[in-house]
Amino acid sequence: MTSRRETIGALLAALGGALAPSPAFGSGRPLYGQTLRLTLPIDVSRVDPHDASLGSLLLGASLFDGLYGRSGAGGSELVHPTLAAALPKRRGSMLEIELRGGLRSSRGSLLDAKAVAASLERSRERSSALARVQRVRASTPQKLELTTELDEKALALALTGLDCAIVPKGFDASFPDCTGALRSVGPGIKRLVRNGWAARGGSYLAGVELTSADLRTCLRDFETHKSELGFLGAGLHQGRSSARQFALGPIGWLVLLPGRGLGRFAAPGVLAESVSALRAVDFSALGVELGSSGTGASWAGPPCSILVESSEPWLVAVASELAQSWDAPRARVQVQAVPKPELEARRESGDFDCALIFLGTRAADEAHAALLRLSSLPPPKRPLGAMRLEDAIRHLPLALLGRPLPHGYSDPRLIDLAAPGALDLANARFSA
Amino acid sequence: MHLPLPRSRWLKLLLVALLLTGNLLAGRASAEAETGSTLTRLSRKISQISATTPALAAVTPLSGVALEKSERGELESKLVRVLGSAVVGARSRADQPLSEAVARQRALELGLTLVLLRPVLEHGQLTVDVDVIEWELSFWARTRKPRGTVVVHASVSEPADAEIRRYLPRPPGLLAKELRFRAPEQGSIGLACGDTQGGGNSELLIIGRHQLFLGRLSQAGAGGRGSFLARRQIEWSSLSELSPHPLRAPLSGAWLEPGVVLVGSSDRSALVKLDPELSHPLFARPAFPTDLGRCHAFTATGIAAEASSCGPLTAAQPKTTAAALEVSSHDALAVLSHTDERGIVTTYELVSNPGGKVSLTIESPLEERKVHVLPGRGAQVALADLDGDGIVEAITTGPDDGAVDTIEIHSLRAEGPVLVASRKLGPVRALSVCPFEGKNPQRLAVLLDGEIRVFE
Repeated sequence: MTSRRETIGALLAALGGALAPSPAFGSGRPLYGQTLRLTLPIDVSRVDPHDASLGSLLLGASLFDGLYGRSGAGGSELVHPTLAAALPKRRGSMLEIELRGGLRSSRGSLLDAKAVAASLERSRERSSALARVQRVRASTPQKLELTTELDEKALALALTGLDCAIVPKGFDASFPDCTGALRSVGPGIKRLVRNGWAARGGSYLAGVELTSADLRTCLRDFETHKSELGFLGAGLHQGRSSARQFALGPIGWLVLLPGRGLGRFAAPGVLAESVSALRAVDFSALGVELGSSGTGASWAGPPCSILVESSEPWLVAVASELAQSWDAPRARVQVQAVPKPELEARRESGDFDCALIFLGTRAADEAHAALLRLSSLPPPKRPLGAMRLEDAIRHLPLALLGRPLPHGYSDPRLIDLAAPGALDLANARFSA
Repeated sequence: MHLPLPRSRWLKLLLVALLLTGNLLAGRASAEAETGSTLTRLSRKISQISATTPALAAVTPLSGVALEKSERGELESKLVRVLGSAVVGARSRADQPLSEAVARQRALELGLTLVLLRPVLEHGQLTVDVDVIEWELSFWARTRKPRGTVVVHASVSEPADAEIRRYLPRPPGLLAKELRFRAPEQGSIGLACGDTQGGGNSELLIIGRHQLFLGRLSQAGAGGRGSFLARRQIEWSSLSELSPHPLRAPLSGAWLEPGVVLVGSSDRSALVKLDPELSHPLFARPAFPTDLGRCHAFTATGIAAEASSCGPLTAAQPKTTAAALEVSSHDALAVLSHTDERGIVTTYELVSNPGGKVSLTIESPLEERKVHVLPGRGAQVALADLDGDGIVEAITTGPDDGAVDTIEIHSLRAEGPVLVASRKLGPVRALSVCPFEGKNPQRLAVLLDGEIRVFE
């Protein structure tokens, strides 16, 4: 049963959400303009909201809008329309979604119902967020019909995720055409500028310059005023003592996948056992929260290489720390950083020892489903959904290393940069 | 060329009335565009009314307003001098205000037609009733009509300007009296005060993100909070679609004048012109209106620095075909054309630039263009001669700390802006100065979140 308060709340959210939140003008109108420089340990050569990489999770919400958004403090489930004109409506066995008029991507492509349906189909192929949606079709240029067992609110909630964000037809992650507050100029996301077609309003910042670098360079750039954000490295910012601390909270999961090279050590639970022996303190400086903390036992298996994506400096740093923790005279462990296409090809063929990958889901139940897909195993005897994620992992031939916890320091003039689980470049601005 | 007048008095009356009506109608369109002080504009209108026979021009004492004796004397002398001399064809003019009875008596004694001007100052309007009174020729007819016959009657009216307001009592100080009212909704983004119905009574237009409200304020008892009583309200969605590229920090503005509500919001895809019942909409490209003919387009960050016309206003909604403009923009803007007692029009433009820097530009035909930067920072701005001293005041809001703003009022004196009043409150979402309503100071309406404060 829905309470009257919930109904009123939902109604207000439905009415209010299509517009960007109106900031109080008590401290003057938010300052538009200026360019933010960020040196981050992430891949800036591509971004795809449907392929949850570290970069997508940290920055994707500023670059891509979805049909619905969540509002209310503390992640309450008040849903409001953003690119949609209203909440979904039931039409017989289907749910109908009407789009706002005149929507366009940052490069001017029309975002009509056909384009949005194609985007949702693309999302369905890449993530499990719309697993309970059987079909998406454009019924008119402004309306979508979704065949699903979900009710109106559940569907709207499912569509709030970044993995359901709308991208235009022919989307290319290495030359992205955006739908959010900022747009990319040139390849990747190295240079972002305010999106003149942003349906919820362009960013306050005129632009953002992003540089990918290792953790040490990220901090050095902050200390030498080349970046307005010092990623990780608490206490290493003497050059900018007035910097403000920020913490985004946990994002996704770091997963170790076994390959053919591990032999019998690829059996369910073995890799997880080795991970549980790692010392949490060794990883905390890297912004990784381990699931448990052990005594620091070395790798007991055969010599192995940890495969990691070379364009993700943060993952490379974590893999290096892992190799160092596990390394022993009799069982050499080293890092093998390879480009993304090679990593994907080798994962596909199983031709590797061990791979460190980032699983970009926020909730544990989504992680369950994603882990099952990763493990490519037949369903376990006990349903994983009934177990804690950490227990469930013991039944799978993979290991959860921990959760990345992005945190650090930012320039004191920066306002509203940190949001739960992401850098909010749409609302970030400099103080006047 | 001399046109022979009909001999019949009734035909003569009809002819004069027709001439007068024609004159007034023909002059109406041009009169709207006329410039000059209130008295100059009234004089122009009165000069179109003329007696057909030699006349005495007389002005009665000013009614409708309480004035100090000396101020009354000065103002009435000015009205006698300016309005009396506007009467065409007068053989004699009274050099001081005369009561109606005395004026009639004097005209009768002189054997002249009486052109009687009755000035009234009410609701911020100076209205002059003009009667052309002729006397009966025969003894018996004069006995039947001892007060004469009004052969022409006209009434002309103009909003009182600085020249008139300077004789009215001055307020003890600005921001001295504060009244509180509940706003019709939370989170509104704009406010405008004006007289849409032409009766001299101001109304407030509150621009919400989803609705427009037009109404008046109802005062509560002593110390209590009054209410906003909406006379009309309308959903934005029934007027205009959401803009495909709204501003993240929304801006809105409106222009109210008799018969017209012109409202623009960065949330919406059209500028909308409505009638006082908030119906019969006409649309133009989205813009921030500063008057009926002057608008500033919304850009990717605020209000375009360059002004343009608001039109064309059509029944069809405009289509947005281009991305938001990345051009030089303001955060807030106020424009005022102020006519001083000499009839000289000075234009003031007050803008808040990104970051809150407030600059003021003054353009006058007699002086070089002046630019001042006001101290502090501002998010909302307005311009008006609040206290009626003939000097314009700039009203700005700037952040004080956290959720509080400071309203500051600078008097724009010849030597430069001088801070004359300030008050902490907020956060301030919008402010608007109501038209002069007959007494000083003009009312300043301030929109907070869920509340309206009015300063008198």
